[in-house]
Amino acid sequence: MATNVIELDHVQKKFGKFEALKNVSFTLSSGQVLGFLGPNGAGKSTTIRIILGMLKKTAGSVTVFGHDAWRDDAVIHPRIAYIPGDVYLWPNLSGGEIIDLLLRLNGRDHNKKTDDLMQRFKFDPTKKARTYSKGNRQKVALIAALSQDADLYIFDEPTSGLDTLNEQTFQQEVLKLKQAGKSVLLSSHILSEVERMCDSIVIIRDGSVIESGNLDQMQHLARLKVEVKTTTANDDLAQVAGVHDLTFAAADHTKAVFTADRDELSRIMQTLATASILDLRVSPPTLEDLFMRYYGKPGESHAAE
Amino acid sequence: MRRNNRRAGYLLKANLKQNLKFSVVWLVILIMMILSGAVKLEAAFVNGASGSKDIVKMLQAPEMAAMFGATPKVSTYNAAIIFAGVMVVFMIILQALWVMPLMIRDTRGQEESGLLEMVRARDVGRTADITAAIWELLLVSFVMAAAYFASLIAVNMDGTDMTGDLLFAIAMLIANLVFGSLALLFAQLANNTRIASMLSYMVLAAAYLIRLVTDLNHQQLTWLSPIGWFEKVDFYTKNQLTPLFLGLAAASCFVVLPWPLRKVAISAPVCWQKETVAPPQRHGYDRCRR
Repeated sequence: MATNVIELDHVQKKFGKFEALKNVSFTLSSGQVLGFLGPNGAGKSTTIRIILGMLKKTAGSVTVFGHDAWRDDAVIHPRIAYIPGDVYLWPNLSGGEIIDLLLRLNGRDHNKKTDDLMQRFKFDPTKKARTYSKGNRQKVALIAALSQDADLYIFDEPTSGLDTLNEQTFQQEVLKLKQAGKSVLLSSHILSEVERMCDSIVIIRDGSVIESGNLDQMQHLARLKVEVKTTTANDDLAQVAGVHDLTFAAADHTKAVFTADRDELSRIMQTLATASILDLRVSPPTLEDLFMRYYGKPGESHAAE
Repeated sequence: MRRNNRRAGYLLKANLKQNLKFSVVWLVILIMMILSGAVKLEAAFVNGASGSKDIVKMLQAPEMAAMFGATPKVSTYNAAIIFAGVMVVFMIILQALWVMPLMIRDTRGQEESGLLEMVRARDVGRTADITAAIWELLLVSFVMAAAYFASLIAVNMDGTDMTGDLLFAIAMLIANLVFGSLALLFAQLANNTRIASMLSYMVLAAAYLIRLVTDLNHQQLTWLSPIGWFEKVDFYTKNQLTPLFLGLAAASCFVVLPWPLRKVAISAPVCWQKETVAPPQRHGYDRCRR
């Protein structure tokens, strides 16, 4: 039975009258990679800071490894590796000095893995931090976090500022963590990255969790995206049950793009067949499709269909 | 207490390295000021030179007393007495201009930038950054005081003795602690470095102005100014210790006061500037407690 590494139960956080978090509940199981998504200002960073014991919740409960996140930070923090979204360093220290310092702050030392990661990320540790670009500053945090053998990794926009090659290196490292059975909480705007690495996702908006679940299940429950090219016009499609968001790419209505309910797929295919299908592409919704769906309109119901 | 300050030593080392150039430049400036003042006044007073009377007369003028501080009223003046009369106020202000931004940068500045967030996510105590800043303040102030003492001994002005030189050095150390810890307090009360700096410099300016006004008239009210406390020591004449204990007590209060705030949350300012929008999402500051 998987144990819960992180448990948030009806967490609220107020800053005076402003409610940053209204109702946040989710769990991260041991060995799971959880994607944490939401638009800017949704409450992702506030939630992460509460998990890290930097902010005190107003209500609810937050436990990490079974310990209270605020009271027992001394017990929790040595087992966590964290990478913030914006990395700022001591400008007059070199990158190597900062990595060693960050490791020592968690009771770890510079090791072979640190050197390996410096090579993989093509990082020069001898330069002063003030000369580093945003991407290189991010690498300092990444190398310091990935060098240590933690039980929980929390990444808040970890690849912001990294080029594509380094993004791939990071993704490979996270997949290695996944294979090693480590638990990862990943907050990212790069949905393709989340889709590739995460088992489950939690979507937050305006301080509340609006959807959470297994990514495969969410994609399975959601509509399919269909692109079809037929010999004759597909005007009948608009009347078929289960067809949504229909648009025609060609003026003669032979190229159609729409989303389809899985339950009505058979009927839809029969209708299409009467128009003589030339090309058909059916794909499950991407995470971006799901995300945009949940962010359609404020106040809209967002249950997975 | 130990738990909340764990790993403060590592933060101290990082801060010292980070601020090395800044602090060394200031230390050089301060020591040069002390040496320059001492050497020039010693030259002016050597063998009872006639220029010394003119210097005393000039410093006793109200305008000069307003700028530099009141010259002690004694029957015979020597280089040491005039040195203390001229340099105390001036040096305290210069020192404050050094340590105040240093303390604000090490605490609120690191929090504002996000560096502290990355540090606190590790096995670092909640008040470790403040503790590291306090240790840095103590260390640099001690180095400064030691350099002052060595400089004064080396110049050996007429009228100085080891006690007087040591008292001067210790008094400047305590003055550093007063204004440095005040800046630390404001760094915890304010929610950004700009306001913390503004409050610190406002208090420094107010202390100078109160001292200025009271030095001209009602010198007994000079006790109202933290800069005035150190004038009341009367270096190389009465060598009063009461102002130094007062300074130490004040510095201790400024250090202890924000401690409970720190344990509430990372960056828990008591007050922040009135905003019409939600608090900055990035750092999740707690609101003003009224």
